[in-house]
Amino acid sequence: MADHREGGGNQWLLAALPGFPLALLILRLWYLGRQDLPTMLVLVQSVSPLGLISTLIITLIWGIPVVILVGRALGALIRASVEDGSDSWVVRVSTRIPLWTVVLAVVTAALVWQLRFLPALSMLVLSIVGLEVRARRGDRPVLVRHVCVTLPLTVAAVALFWFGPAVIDAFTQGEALLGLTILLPLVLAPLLNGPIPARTARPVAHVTGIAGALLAPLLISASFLNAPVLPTVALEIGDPQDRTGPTVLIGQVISVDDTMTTMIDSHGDVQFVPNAQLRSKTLCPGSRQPPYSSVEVRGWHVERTLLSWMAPSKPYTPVDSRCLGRRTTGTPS
Amino acid sequence: MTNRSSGGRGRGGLRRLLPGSGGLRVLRLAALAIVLIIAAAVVTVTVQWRGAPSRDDLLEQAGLTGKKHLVIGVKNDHPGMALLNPDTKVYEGFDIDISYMIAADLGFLHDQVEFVAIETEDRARRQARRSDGTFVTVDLVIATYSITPEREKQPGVSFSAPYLRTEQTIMTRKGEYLDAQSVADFQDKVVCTTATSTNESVAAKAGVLLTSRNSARNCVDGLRDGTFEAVASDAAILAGFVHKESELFELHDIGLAEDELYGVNTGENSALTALVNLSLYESLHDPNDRTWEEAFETHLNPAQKSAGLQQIAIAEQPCVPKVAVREWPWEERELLPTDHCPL
Repeated sequence: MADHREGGGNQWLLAALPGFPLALLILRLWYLGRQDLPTMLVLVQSVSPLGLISTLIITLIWGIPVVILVGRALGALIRASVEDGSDSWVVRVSTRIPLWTVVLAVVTAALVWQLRFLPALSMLVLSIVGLEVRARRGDRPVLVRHVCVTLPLTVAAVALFWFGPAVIDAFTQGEALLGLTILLPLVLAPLLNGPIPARTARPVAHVTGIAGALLAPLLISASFLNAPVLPTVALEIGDPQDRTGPTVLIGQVISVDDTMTTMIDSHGDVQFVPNAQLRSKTLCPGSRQPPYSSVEVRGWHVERTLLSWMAPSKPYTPVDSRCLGRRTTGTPS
Repeated sequence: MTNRSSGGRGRGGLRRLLPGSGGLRVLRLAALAIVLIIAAAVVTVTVQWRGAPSRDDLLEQAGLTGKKHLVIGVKNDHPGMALLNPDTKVYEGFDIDISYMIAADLGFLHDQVEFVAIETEDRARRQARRSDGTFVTVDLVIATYSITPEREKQPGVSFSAPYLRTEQTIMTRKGEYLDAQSVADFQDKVVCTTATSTNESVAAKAGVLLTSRNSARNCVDGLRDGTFEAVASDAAILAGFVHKESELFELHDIGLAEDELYGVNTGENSALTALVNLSLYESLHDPNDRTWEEAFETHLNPAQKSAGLQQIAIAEQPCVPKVAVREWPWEERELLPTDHCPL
């Protein structure tokens, strides 16, 4: 009966779940329109929901495994550390995450997390596996020893062999935090798959969970608000009879119809350009920032994901002059 | 329920496995604390830290994004260095080639570069006069502008790394002053130099009767018609005049040890300074980029043949400090150390 009430009481959470992405999408358009309501309405009218959702998924897909794996690990930590942790909300949430979801989250994380965070992923996986084995098969000490001692040490040894040069590079190039991000999860993984002092388990897990729950929306919002949702193009505009030559307009295309090209420039102003004045247009490179680190792991840059490493990428081409606000006519200097 | 009971078995099993594991639990707690601290640090740094700027960041900060033309102040009467060819009305010379190289690295096409003639004394202010008589503040000054500590302190002056190393010399009419080996040999002689140039102070110290003109061309004209006995200026500048009229003029190696290092004045635009330095750095270290070497070969090497013992400039690009920029790994140029400059 109590369980039934509890389940019913949490239904609103399920209903509210799609609300967050929706709020994010609206916030993104509001941000793009520089907080101007008429501009936002033009954007809402023209922007494809599919395009927005695609951007949302591409930008934030890394966050879903974080929530699932950290939640599951914290719940397992309480269960392993205290006699009865069922009254903890972290445990209740984590036990409702099915195993297949965890497996899917691990696969997703392996594909979309940057290389520098893969040691942290292996640490999380080893922790969850170790804590689950202790919880479910604690009466089989040999299995526990293999899963909680032998396996983490083997993984750490192999990973350290592979990541070793990158860790040295990171420290020698003054990127100590990057070095620690790679090194510490591997070194500490063998210690993170067992119980901690019982009286500290709940506070540690709850504080971590609450901090994560509070910070995650902020981080996700900050990440999404800077993601491009419309293609950036440069238009050469001018009257063919005008001898001064065309001018170049850079912005994000909202819509194109038979008569007008509607775009929003970098100041948030909506520009309506008659198609008759268009001389040329080009797609400009995205606003993705180059990596902060120069460290590579055996040719694989630490800020690249496995997915981007495997997927075909566009070959490097020099930036079109029009994307810098200049017309194209003339010979390269 | 299943979980709870199995969890109980798990803990019992663990106790059997690790009797007296209280210390181990504390150790695990410490490890967990370290991981959480590092995670917090990574999140903070990822959100807060911006690191070195990217090329696009620098272009934006330098005010070049959306700029239609790059206006460069150059000399227009220095054969070999920067000369407005009276026949073709096209600028040519070493400084011009270096200007085009830097402009290309800043994203400007050939016809998006506007050269405007600049007087020697206007280089700090970056004020150049267009052919229609209007003055314009140029984006860059690439006009045989020597880097000195005094100039660096002037408002409006910000030098890039040097792009050419030369030295001072003296030019006379051919056959006169055959024994001249120092500035002192021109004591009490009327020697011309360009206003506010570094040559003024050297000549003044030696006790010559120094007079100045606002361009080297005027000094050379005065030397030709006998108004002056000599012209004091940089070897890279005077060599062009000697090469052009080798039957009239000659250079004298006056044994000055000080280098004249030419730099680009970017006008206190630190992002633009970084971009110019980046261009010079890549020119220096990119083995496939021969622009600097070809410019030297084309414009300065021929003049060296007429300069006698006087070396007009060093045929190696001066070292440039590394500029930290963030780049996509696949956009990075393959750079190598040179014989005289490490990466």
